[in-house]
Amino acid sequence: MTPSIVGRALRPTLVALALLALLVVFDTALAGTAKLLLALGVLATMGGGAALRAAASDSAHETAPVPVLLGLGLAAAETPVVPLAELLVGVAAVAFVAWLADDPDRPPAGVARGALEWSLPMLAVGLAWASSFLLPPTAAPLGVAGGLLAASLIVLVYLVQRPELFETAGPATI
Amino acid sequence: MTGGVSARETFRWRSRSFLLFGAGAASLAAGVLLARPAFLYLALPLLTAPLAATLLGPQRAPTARLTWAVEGSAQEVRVAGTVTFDRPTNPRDIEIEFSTPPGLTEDRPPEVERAGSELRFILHWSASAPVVVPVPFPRAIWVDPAGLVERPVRWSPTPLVVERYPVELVHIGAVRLERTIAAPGEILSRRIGADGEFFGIRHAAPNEPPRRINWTATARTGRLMANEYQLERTGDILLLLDARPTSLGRTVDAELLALSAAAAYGIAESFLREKARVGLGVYGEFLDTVPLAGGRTQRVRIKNALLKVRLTRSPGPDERCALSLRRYFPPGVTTIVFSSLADDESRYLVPYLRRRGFPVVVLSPSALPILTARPTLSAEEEELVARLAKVVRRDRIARTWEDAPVVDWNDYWSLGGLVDLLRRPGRRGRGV
Repeated sequence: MTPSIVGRALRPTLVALALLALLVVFDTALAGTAKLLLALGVLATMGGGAALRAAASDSAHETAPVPVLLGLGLAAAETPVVPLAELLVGVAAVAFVAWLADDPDRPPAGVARGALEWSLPMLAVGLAWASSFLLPPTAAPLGVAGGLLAASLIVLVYLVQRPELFETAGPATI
Repeated sequence: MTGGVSARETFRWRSRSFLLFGAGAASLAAGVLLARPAFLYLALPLLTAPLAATLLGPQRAPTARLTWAVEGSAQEVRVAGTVTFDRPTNPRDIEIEFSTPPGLTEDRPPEVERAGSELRFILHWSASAPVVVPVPFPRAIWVDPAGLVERPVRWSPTPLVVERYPVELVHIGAVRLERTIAAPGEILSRRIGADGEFFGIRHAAPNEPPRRINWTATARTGRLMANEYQLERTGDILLLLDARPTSLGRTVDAELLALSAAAAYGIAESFLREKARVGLGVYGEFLDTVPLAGGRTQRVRIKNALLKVRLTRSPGPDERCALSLRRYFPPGVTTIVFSSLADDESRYLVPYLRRRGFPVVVLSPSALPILTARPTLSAEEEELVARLAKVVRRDRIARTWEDAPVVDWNDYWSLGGLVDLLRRPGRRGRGV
């Protein structure tokens, strides 16, 4: 059954994304009114994205991520250099990827099917954040090593999935 | 398989990926220039998500098998199909697009259902007029759930053709035709008269030769009865399509030609079912032919030739058509000419054919139903124009009747007039 316009626009991932973006805004160092205006601006961009996605036109549907990205950019611009706020920006960006997978025009359960697509960026954000804030400053090379290790693991997964890369062409004659 | 296309070539980034790459790069640059780490955290998922989609999706184009068939009858056309995907492709990640072939209109949006490793679909179309048209292959592509990358599905579906023609044509094959040439391996009797195995007794035609009258049966039944032989039961027929442009304009001409092709296919199929030999000629600038033959292979040949029929841009002269026909077909073969008779030039083809020895019947699809369906003037003016057009057409048909019998094909879903005309004794046009 085709979902209603509200159902098409108001996805669970959009709610999560808007909440994360609001948390980012409330972590900013702006004054009360400016913070409220920023929050309204970010919510407006999210609403714009949702409305574009619910629109019948294909071109509008394709441009839906643009206002949402703008909203995230606005929120990130005012984020102070604080560990929790930065982590929230990263998680909001991951929620944005999950929102892309939660498309009402495609078969259901997109977020579950695309779990690997958003969990890999989540891993990258987690590693970057942990190496920046959880490790002592003297152990920065350890963070770099952790990043390299993660990259190696990704390459390994890629190579294991493509065994034909190790195959060599057989001789032309016996 | 789409032979020759490598799996790597089929991979494509979607526009959304470029958006994410662009936003990620801009965010990265802003983070470095403004010394704001939050931008870097924003950039990280945007840049890694398309890469993750590439890495974790299928590494080569997914393969699938399509089983489909045309269902429905008369104007209703239903195409039902099942696409079976090889593991590990999930049908929910497949986007499938359908295009409606010319001559058909979409009644309802396609029904698509995904279950297990299969994707089932039903297309609902309708044919406003007789049509023979191939169904375009659906376009199936694997798209990751976030819509960032895609790979077209590789498959080799069997071609499917929608065939819709007037129902009366199913019985037209029962019409008796003249035999013009011997079948391969057939040795004609040197004796005068009909030859071959005796088949049965039938009512005699008015022009029946006395040798063929069965006098015993006539005495028993009280009316003239004639013997019928096996060889008489099959005959030869030539279908000639006039693919030259007329004053009606290319759009209307193309529609009328498509109608003629559909009717020709229905006639050919019916006669071939009755073991008759059918030939096809398409005359545009030059003559394209399928020589006389019977059987299933001939059906495929004729269908393929009819699917290729297009309106020509440079019309050839009438006499060229008649001359060329003599190279491929024996004189005396019953010929059905499909012509709109929209102008005098198309009318003059008939006497040329007669002079070359082809008994002709003209089946003329009328353009009036098409033209009246697209009004451009006021209601009164349209009515007046329609009446004038009808008078002109009647006059043209009357003039053509001087050379050959004409069937005015007004109701596109009925060809009872043609069947009646061909069944009538001495109906196969006027000989030389």
